[in-house]
Amino acid sequence: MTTPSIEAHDLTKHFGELVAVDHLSFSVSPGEIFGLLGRNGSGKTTTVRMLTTLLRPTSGAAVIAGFDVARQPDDVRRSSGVTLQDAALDPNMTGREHLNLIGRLLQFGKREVTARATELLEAFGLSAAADRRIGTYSGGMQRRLDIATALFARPPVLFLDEPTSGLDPQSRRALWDEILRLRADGTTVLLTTQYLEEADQLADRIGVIDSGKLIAGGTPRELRAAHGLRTITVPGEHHLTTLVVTVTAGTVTARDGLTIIDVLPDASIDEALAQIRSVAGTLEDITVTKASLEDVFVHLTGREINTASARSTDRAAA
Amino acid sequence: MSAAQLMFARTATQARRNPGVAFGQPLIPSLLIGTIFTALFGAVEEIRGFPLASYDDWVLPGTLFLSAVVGAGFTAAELLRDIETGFIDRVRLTPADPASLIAGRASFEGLRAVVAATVILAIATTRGLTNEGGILGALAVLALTAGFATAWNGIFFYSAITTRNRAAVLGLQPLFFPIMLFSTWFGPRFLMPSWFEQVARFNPVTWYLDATRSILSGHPDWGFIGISVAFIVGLAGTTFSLSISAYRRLAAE
Amino acid sequence: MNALTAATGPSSAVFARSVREGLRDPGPALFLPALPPLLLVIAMTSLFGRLNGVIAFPTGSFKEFFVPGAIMIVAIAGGGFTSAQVAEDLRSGFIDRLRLQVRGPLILLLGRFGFEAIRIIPGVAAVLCVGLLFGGALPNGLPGALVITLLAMLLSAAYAGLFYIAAIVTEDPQTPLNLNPVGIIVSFLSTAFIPRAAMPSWADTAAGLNPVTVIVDGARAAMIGDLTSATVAAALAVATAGVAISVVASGAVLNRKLSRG
Repeated sequence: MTTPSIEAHDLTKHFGELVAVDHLSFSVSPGEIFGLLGRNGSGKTTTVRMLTTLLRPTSGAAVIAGFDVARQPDDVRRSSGVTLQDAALDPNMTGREHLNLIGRLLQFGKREVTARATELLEAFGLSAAADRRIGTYSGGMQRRLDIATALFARPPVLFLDEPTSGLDPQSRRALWDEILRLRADGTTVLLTTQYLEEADQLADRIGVIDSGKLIAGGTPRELRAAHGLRTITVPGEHHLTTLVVTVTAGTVTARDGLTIIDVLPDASIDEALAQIRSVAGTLEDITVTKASLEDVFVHLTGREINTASARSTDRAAA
Repeated sequence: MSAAQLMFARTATQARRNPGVAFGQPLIPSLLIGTIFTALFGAVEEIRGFPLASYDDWVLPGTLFLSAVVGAGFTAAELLRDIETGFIDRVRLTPADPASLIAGRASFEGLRAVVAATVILAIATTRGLTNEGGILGALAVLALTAGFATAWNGIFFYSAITTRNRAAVLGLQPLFFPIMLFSTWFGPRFLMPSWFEQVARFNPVTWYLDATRSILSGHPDWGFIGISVAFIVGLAGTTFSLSISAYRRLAAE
Repeated sequence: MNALTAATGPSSAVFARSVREGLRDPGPALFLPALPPLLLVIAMTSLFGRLNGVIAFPTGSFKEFFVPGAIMIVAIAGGGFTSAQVAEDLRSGFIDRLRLQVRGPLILLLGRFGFEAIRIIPGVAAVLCVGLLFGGALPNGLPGALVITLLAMLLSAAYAGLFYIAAIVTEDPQTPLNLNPVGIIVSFLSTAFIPRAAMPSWADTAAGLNPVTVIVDGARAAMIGDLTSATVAAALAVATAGVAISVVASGAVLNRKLSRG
């Protein structure tokens, strides 16, 4: 069992009365992509700032690449790359000046810095813009520069705080490819996101964070299986309530010519289908939808979905 | 290159791109005020008992003082911008030491002051400034001025880090004015009523002005020079160590 | 309903808004502009009494000469305070919204001009009182004080025009700050501090071209000279003309800006 790249032990952060992060514990294995999934204000950024020495925890500990965040902050900084939610760039410097300055502050030699800066600018498609002011860069370019900066020291651990927020779909996909490439090279990645698809596509394991607490964790598949609903849609409005509910322990809604049955995670789809066939006579045109990560999230956090259907309130009651 | 040198170089690059604010601001208004004031009030030199040959000679150190304080906060504004853009976090993720970084920024203010003061001295010399202190005296005056400017900017640094508010930081700029009025900026002590003289005596601006005048007169007053240096060191020491602590505390929030 | 009443409605609204903002934050609007001239009057009257023997002041005394000048400086110091808001309004598009309700965008500025005129009154009163304490004189009594206050109000409104034009063109809320040096030059190169006879020729020429000189001379005459003289009349005329020019010019610049969109 290899030592984890990232370890959080009971990480807690109070801002006055507000508890932003509440006894968060998790670990990330080397070469893994870990997705921290949560809404705005759930504590993702605060967690990342604590893991990267930018913020002192109120209590708890974190170990990054074997270095304690509180006692060995310089070593932590040398071993990790970070991109924060808003690209931390000076709009008056050029891209090249930015990389050169950070590289030299990271204590690399002049020649090494120049070479590495050129290499990164090339790799992230910024060579043409390298000697223009960062203020003239597009949002996507600024994000790329920020990531290039995070990768300057070829860190074994990478923290990406909402790396694709505000990007167009094309740029998002390109960034996903880049992150997967980094994992292929052996980099450990912790990324925070609000985009369920992103967590689903990229993360080996996901941690769901809500109100500063880690409320669930596992691979996307495990989460879906443990917390996800499946939905059976039957054409025609049938009165399947009693029978199906006892089997599925879910809810049944009949409207617009359809009967929609939610099947809770631990119930058996096969039994439910059998019951339906016995009432409806047939299983033709029946659709079974696999639980999405969105369903998982809603189930876990109890948040009301805007396309309000009875099921969300029933779920809260259940 | 140390972190201080890197930060100095970066600030210098920004200044080169913005020379009006960086170098014009300390220089032009000071020259204007100094020149016009001495033109209007030149008659003061005819007041019986006036110690110098010309009022221009009296006001010149006042002009140098203005160049040290008008347009202060240039590098503090840059620090503020770094806080606003989040660039400061990027820098905090490197091993660079806060003291070193702040020292780098602050020394640029010293350079700014030297540039302005040199131009002012040069212009004054071509217009007949009495300088019995020679080259050494001129260098001493430049050093005092640069020191004063750097120390003065410490206040702005502290404000930038603790308030993170542009208006608050820039709002400190006019602070020099009331302090300068009740010093020997306008004229010698024998013109002052006693309450005025009491205030002026304990005014660091007076110490700087009198020290500078004494150097330029060829009879350096070591008392004034000493207390000016002590003030500069004290102010710089206090403001910069407070700034560095505040910077370190950014991680605690 | 004629154009004037049609105009005063929205103008009063803008005026009232400016007053509200000013009262909410009285420091920069009301008190700060008074501070430099107040301190100047204390410092300079304390130091330069002996200039009496060296310069021929028309009144015989530097102190009496300077106090009216210091009062007029109140109108110039902290000039164009509301221009920052004009720039901000342009930048944020707020002015576009106002424009939709009102005929003629100039009306939007009128309220502000009015505010610039009255906000200096406390400062003028303060410098007058302190000035009198420190050696100034007011032989013309209350009428003199009223006239000098009126002149200061007109000067403040006229001077604000410069800032409005700059604020409209640049949309920079730092305009009042950036134009500070202008105020210093304009005050120095007038008769606020020293009579023209005592100035070097280049300064004398500049003061001759400076409309503020006429206004300051009138203020001085109102306070310690002949209240009914042509000097006072000329000052009132120049100041009023200054306001008119400022209003018209700012309106024209604003019109051009808004029509270009």
